Amino acid sequence: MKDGDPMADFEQPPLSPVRQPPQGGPSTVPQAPRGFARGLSGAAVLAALTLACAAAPLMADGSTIRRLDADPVAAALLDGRGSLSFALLAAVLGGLAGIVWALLAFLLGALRGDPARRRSIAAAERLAGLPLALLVPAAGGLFGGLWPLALVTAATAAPAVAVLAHAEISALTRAEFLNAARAAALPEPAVMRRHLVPNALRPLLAAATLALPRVLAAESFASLLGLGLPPTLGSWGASVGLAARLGDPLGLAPPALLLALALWSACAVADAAVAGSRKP
Amino acid sequence: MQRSLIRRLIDAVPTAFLPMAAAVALAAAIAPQPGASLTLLRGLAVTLLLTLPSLAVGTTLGTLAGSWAAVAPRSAGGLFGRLLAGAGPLVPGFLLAAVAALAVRAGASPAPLGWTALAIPAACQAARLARPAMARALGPGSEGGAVRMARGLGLDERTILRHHALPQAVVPVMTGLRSAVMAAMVGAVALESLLDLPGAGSLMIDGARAGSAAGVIPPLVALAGLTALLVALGAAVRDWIDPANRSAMPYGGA
Repeated sequence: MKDGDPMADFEQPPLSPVRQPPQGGPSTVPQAPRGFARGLSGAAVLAALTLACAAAPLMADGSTIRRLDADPVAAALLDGRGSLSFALLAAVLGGLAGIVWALLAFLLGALRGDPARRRSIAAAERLAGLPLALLVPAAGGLFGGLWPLALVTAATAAPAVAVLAHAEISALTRAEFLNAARAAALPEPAVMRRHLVPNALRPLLAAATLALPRVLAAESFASLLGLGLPPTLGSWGASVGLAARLGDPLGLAPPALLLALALWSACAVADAAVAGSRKP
Repeated sequence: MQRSLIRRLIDAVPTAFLPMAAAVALAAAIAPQPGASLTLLRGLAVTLLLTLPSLAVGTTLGTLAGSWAAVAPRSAGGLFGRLLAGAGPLVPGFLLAAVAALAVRAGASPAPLGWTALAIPAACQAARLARPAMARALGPGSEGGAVRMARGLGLDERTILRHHALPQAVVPVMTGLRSAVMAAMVGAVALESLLDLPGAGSLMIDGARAGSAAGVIPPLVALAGLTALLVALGAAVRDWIDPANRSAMPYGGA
């Protein structure tokens, strides 16, 4: 028996659903969560798009990348490298910022009471209700440069991630297995370590995936107006905007279709991740 | 409707009217060119003229199509509703604005194309929300109580759909109107900029291209206020339609 841990001698299995062994019987047959097939197809499409964009230089007729000489499909795939890599960077930053916001709200609630937590999340809700995507072209024009643009793009996604992450953690803190663990006299640090943290990881990651479609759309919108990524990086939005200004339907179709497909698949992955992380 | 509208508009004073007034005052104070506040007011009117009809038509059509997809999924209207509900993320407003700009360059008329480009995302969003809500209203669960009671009272199916099921499908659409308004606003900014329309979004993008904070901030604040105003109008419509607000008894138990 360990010193200071009154529950150590019981060695009972934790009560949280993460580590529960599967039980037999027809009622406990695992079922795929709602939207799982759509999310899986979205992930497959996103992976295929990423691979195709990464392999685009091999299709560009030689070892050097020459966007202007390439045919529209190859040029759109080359542009996808800029759009997708920037979206990944901004989504990671925005997802992290949103999760940190939600966790800070809980910390604030623990330190200063529940009204402080509610106020900080209400601020995120109010921000998420504003057209924050408009900040991205504004920042592109005023600041320029890749990092300011990435930070502003991430900031446009962070409030929505924070609201969702807060809702998921709130639901988790009301879960019955936590009450059961506390009723079994498990100390609070052990409840957090064995039950809360392992069960919170998946909903938090799911909330963070919400940032990907948002930042991809925001960057494409800014690039479409000529205020997004630098031309050397390439972007689907920039190609669509240029083709629209020049009246070139052949130049518009491939990047527009690839962008629409990427947005659909990112949304499908985010929806499936959020739906799958919820306990029935 | 009038009381609900007035209440919602009063609620929207700090989030919608004050930002717009502040933006106009800010434009008068700091914008480099003379008459900037009047230009911004005209720009706001143009943006409102672009977004409000598109949102109204798109949301109405999307709600009807999405609801019909739950009533008769294999009919033509049902298939259209399912198509709209599934196509949501595929058709962001700014991408449709680019397609509309391309068509205008080819000689098409800008006004109907612009309204259509902004109405389609709103229709997709409405269909996505209305379809499951209608299915719940007609289903065996607790939310289908009103429809079951109306059938039990012998009302004909058309009346049941129009007076008892459809309002329950409209409520989540109007509750989730915020996303559609934001998408329409982003699409309107792209459309104004690509077609050189004198809207507030176009003013903001021109300011950003010039690298002028004084040119960017007033239209940006005004557009945030306009978004809040449109959301408040949607909330007023929801209050008017929501069966729970027109029933003396809790609607869930009907």
